[in-house]
Amino acid sequence: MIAAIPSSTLLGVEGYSVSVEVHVSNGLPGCTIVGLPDSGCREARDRVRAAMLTSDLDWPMRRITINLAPSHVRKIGTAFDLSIAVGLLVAQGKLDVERIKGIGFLGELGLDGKIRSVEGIIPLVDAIDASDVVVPPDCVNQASLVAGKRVRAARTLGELVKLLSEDDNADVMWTLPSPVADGLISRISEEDLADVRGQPLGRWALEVAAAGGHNLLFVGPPGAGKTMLAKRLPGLLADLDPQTAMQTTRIHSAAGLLPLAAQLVVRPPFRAPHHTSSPASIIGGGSGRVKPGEASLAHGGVLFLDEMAEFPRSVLDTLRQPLEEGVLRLGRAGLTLTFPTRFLLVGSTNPCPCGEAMEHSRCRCGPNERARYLGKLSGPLLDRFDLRVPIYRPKVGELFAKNNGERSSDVAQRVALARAIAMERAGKCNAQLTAAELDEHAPLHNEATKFLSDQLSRGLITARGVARLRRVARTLADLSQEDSLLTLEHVCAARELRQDTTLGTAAA
Amino acid sequence: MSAQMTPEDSMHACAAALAALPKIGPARLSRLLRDADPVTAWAKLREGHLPFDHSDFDMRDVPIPRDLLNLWKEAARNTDPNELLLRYKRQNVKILTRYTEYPNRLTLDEYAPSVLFALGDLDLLHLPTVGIVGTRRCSRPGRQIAEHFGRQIANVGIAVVSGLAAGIDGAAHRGVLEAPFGVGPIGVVGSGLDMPYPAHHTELWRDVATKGLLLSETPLGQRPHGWRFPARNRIIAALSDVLVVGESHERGGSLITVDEAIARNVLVMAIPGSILQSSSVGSNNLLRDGVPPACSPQDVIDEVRCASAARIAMLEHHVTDADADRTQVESSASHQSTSVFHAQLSPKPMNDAERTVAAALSSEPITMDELLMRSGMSLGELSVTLRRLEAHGCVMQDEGWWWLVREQS
Repeated sequence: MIAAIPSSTLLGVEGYSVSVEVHVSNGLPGCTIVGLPDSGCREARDRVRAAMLTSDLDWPMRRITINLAPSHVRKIGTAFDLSIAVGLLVAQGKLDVERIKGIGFLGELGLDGKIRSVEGIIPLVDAIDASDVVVPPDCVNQASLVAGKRVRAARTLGELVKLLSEDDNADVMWTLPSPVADGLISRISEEDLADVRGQPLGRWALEVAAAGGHNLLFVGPPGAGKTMLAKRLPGLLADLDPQTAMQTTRIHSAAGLLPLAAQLVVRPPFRAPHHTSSPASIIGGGSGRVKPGEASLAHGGVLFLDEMAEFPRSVLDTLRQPLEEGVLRLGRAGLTLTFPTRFLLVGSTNPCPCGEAMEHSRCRCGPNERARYLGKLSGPLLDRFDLRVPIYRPKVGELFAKNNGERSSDVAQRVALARAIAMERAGKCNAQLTAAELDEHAPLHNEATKFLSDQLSRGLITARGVARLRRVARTLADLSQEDSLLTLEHVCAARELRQDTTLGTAAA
Repeated sequence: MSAQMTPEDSMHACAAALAALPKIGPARLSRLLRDADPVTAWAKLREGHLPFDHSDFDMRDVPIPRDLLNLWKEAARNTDPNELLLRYKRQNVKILTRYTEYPNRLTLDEYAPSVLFALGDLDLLHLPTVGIVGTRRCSRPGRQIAEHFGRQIANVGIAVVSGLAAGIDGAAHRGVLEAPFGVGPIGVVGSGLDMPYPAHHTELWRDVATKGLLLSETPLGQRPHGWRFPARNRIIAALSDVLVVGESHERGGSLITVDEAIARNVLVMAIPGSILQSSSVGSNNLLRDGVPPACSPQDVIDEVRCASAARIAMLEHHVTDADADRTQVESSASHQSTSVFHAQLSPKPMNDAERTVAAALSSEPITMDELLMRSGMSLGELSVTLRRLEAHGCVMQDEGWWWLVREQS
């Protein structure tokens, strides 16, 4: 007899529908699993056998063939255990085919018959080819987030079989474990902007970056407060909109980062990989199971590269596609996986190897050293930063000043307002405005045009730099809620926020 | 080929070849050429002999061991001085030795270089000179001040001598090259004349060589070894009528130049700097120890006249007509200087914003952050106002630090 049970596997951050076919026939007793299973899938045979025996179910002494169709796609994970068990029972005639029609099964089996949770439940449930899904009890909260699927759970294999065998009408309500009260929404403790003393330029840059979605680079000596400032950026960003929230939750679920009790990821994620991270951990990859990297995990939020110049050039180069297109395409054994990667990039770097180039004549680096240090950042990556702000060490007086800066919540309000204005005007945040849209939505005052053409003719800025300045100027105008032409003040301020002198390169 | 070589050419060829011997420095070279001319010395070395008598051995002499002598013998046999000379001629590099043409100013110097390579206008050595030296890691105002001094001093017909290093040296010469009526600068470097060092001064080298004079003790093609720099400092000191220290850290190469100057009775002056700058500690210490301060280029120019006259009298050198022209140019130059420091722009009335910003600034550079907090203005207004003030010449900026240059009503 043959049975086909709907299930699914993970491909990158998306699920992929799999049909678990179970065939039982005469012949020497044995069990093989085909369909490019990884080692976890292959071990299912032993787990399912023990679980079934523990649950007082028969393991057929026949020739068993299990095919995970389609057979040309690599299968990973242990979620097939449950569907294999159910398939065996159906193939033996122990379960009625009609009863389980239209139900998918996901779950790992413990040797005691317990149904255990699996990683990446959200994309798995989303991809399954059935309207009802049985998931491990711990995964119910997250599985319920997926639209269009009815989620059911059972604690053990025995319980599940009992529920499936009962001769009731199709709409039996199975016992669901009580939902966690006020399902915990993923929320990291966010730092408050009021902790930062002084640094008016740095705090202003954070506000502008948040309001317009502009990538931001902090340049400064060690101890100036670059990392401290960067960590305060997520606190200024609004909650994710439903579509992005769902995307981000799926990605985090696929990476196995979502705590079981958590539901939707609502706050923008903040990812800060160390500069010794491998390229694979940043962009995703790995053989067999392709996990999303930091760039994907930051989707909808902030990717913070501390000590940018210490990152290997290869890693920085791989970020170009995500920054340009908002997705990352990885090729793996005939398949191209797409990871969504729309994030705000924040970088921090020293101006030179010793870090003192911005102070009074204290730098001990030769011009070659300096050029080599910043050489890694030159070119296309540097150009992606709309804001390049120098951060100087705070003076002693500032550190002990009584009056704190504004709180994050106050700044966040202004940011939200500015974002709303931009969305209404162009349907996207200012950093993504194309050249044509700039002409339409960000017209310049005469004075401003004169200033920009003067800078262009003196070779202090490139044409692309002009476009970037206009985007930032548009955000500055939105923050002060001025909707008329962009003035000289806006453009000059934008220029101040996009400095190069500290970097010693000519590109503007 | 050798038929076209004049006796002078042979001297030059052998001098260049001697300077290029391995492991030879100014001291050994001087010893070799003290008692013999270059041609003789070269011939002797090819045989493996010293060009002087062993009985002339003096305790103070630099030793020349037998291994070295053999090394030189090998090198001498493998080198053709005439070919070497062609290389120098092709690049228009002149070779100066005591046996041929040699700068008058150095003839009485005890430690003068015995072989000197020159590119450019040798007549500049007859003019009064001022050496401007300083640290490579100078402050931003310090750099502007060195440029200003270079420009004003060159404008009155004084040749500025410096080392073409990063920082104060380079700034001084850049100022000289900008002077509208200025005489060319004199650069003394530690590497071969065809090997600009540091790399980012390549253009400056070219300008000094074409519009002024470039000197070096190092043969062509050699990069600067560390010991070449203190060695060339003595030449800077020897060529200066007055030595001005722009900025110096507590310890630095420019202080070596000061020692060399003092040993030669050359007047040393120092430009005072803020006591808060580490780059001015050395130069301020000189002032504390009694060196006269150079508070403006005029201070230096006044001293040069006396010093130059003394030297000229000592060498019994005739003052040329160039002096007469110079005095004339001098009086007109001060009225036509385009320097920011003496700009005679009609004072424009400042608006409120400009007044606020000017009040927040001082002669000590501060960052934009600091300005934002002191002035309380928004970034947009502040940046527009700063640019306006910069265009009027009231403030200056360097890599993000701003300071006040001129008080205004």
